[in-house]
Amino acid sequence: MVLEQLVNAVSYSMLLFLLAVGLSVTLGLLRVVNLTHGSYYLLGGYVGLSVVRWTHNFLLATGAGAATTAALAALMFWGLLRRFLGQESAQVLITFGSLFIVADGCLAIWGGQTYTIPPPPGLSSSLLLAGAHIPTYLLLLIAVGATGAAAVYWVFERTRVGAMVRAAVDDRELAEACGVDVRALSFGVFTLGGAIAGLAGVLGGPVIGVYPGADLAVLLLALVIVVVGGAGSMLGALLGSLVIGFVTTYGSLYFPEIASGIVYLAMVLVILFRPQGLVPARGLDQT
Amino acid sequence: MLELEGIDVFYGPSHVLHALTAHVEEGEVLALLGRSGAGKTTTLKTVMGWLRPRAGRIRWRGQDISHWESVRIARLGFAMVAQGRRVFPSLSVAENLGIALNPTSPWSLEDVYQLFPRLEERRYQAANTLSGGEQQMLSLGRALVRGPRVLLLDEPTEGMAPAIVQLTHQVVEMLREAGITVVLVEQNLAFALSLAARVAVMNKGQVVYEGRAQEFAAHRELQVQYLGVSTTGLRVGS
Ligand SMILES: Nc1ncnc2c1ncn2[C@@H]1O[C@H](COP(=O)(O)OP(=O)(O)OP(=O)(O)O)[C@@H](O)[C@H]1O
Ligand SMILES: [Mg+2]
Repeated sequence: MVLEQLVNAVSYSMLLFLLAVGLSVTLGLLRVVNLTHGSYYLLGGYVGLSVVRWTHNFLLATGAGAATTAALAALMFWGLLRRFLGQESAQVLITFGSLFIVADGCLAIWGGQTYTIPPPPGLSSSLLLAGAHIPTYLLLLIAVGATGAAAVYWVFERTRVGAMVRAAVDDRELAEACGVDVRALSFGVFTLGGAIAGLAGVLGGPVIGVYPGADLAVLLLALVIVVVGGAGSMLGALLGSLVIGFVTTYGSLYFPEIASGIVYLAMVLVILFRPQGLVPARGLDQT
Repeated sequence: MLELEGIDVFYGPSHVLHALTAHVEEGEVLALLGRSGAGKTTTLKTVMGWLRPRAGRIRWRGQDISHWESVRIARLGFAMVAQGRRVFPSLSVAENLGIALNPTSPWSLEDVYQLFPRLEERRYQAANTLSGGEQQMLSLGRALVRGPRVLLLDEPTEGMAPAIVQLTHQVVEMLREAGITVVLVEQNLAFALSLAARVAVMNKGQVVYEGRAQEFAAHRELQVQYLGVSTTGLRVGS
């Protein structure tokens, strides 16, 4: 029981991290909340579902889901947002409109049912571990999530490109004066964030499911994580995901009657005591 | 030559630079002087592409760069040491230098560390944990590794201890020897006049005086008239 809940909480946290990391970094860079972020998750999930049905290949499905949402994010940035950098209300409107377009498109193609993506063959059973039944798929989720998180963290914190992104989050003007092409960087980060959210959509398919409205549900979750963790920082996204993952898992176990509101309770507590989030990017401290 | 020709710059509705005209010869150090609020910082920001002139032209070697984006201007060879020692607070010292590093710069990271050993000692420390003087060294070092053709220096000695002022003086001398064009905004008149070949004085968003630094240094009445100063003895770093 204890181990099962722990695996639940950790795997859910990893999924949340993949979901929120792109939103957090693009918010730091563009100073705008991408309201389409949840739609990448949804679209990724649907594309993954179709690919699994046609090919029975889960790996291919994750690749296809991520590629589709990367393309959508790239198209949104290059076609629309690029022209409105610095104009925050225009960008919010663009991402808000795209949210509805994607949602209606998905509804037209996949209909209104709730689907669950079948986990990869061989990972649909449980493992008896120290007397606990652990679904093997959750272990995969933890492994993939932790690997992905480590990779993203490494790029962000240890490479020159990562340092350029952090520099642009700190002080966009100064970064440009140092020869950093912040626009190209934002394009890359936006696209990559979209890809990772799409990947999360496929990975989350077997546990959370794919259904109309999932876009808004996960967008809200991602926003809560960014508020809790602090915008523009990798450590913030990771901590925020762990907090929300554990609070959700254990909250619904011990306080089932307030389960749906408990993440917001956590958020309010953080806002009360640390309004900038647990570990915000330093350049955003003052804002 | 860097030419500013009839530049008008606004912050929202407030009109700050009024048909400003000035020029800097290649390889010279120009001291850009003026009282607080005259528009010196605004001028540098406009050259760097942080602000767009609403009218007028900025030309570098005859090419109109007035509407270029900042990153393009940076890659053309412009570098800025901004007022108030702007550094990237969450980046380490090494990262602050590393993201700016231009492989064709005559100054490498090692050169910067040699010039400022304090920075090497603190290379893995986040820039927001540095002292004001160290942040100033970092700003200078970051400009050096860009390998600039034109360096815009905005009040580099403001609030700095004499030792740092001396160090900054050496760096600007080194740049001048290397034939780099420098626009030096300064309140420390002695410091500026000991480095500059020419002087331009701004008032209310316009250049009101241009002349040779020697001449401006020799005529106290010019200083009083344009800057309202009554300094006694021009000594660097005091
Ligand atoms: N961001 C801004 N918004 C509105 N007005 C501004 C802004 N920055 C500067 N100003 C105004 O523009 C004018 C010129 O400012 P600027 O900073 O260029 O002066 P300065 O010569 O650099 O002064 P100092 O020596 O104090 O640095 C001042 O009147 C100032 O109040
Ligand atoms: Mg100024």
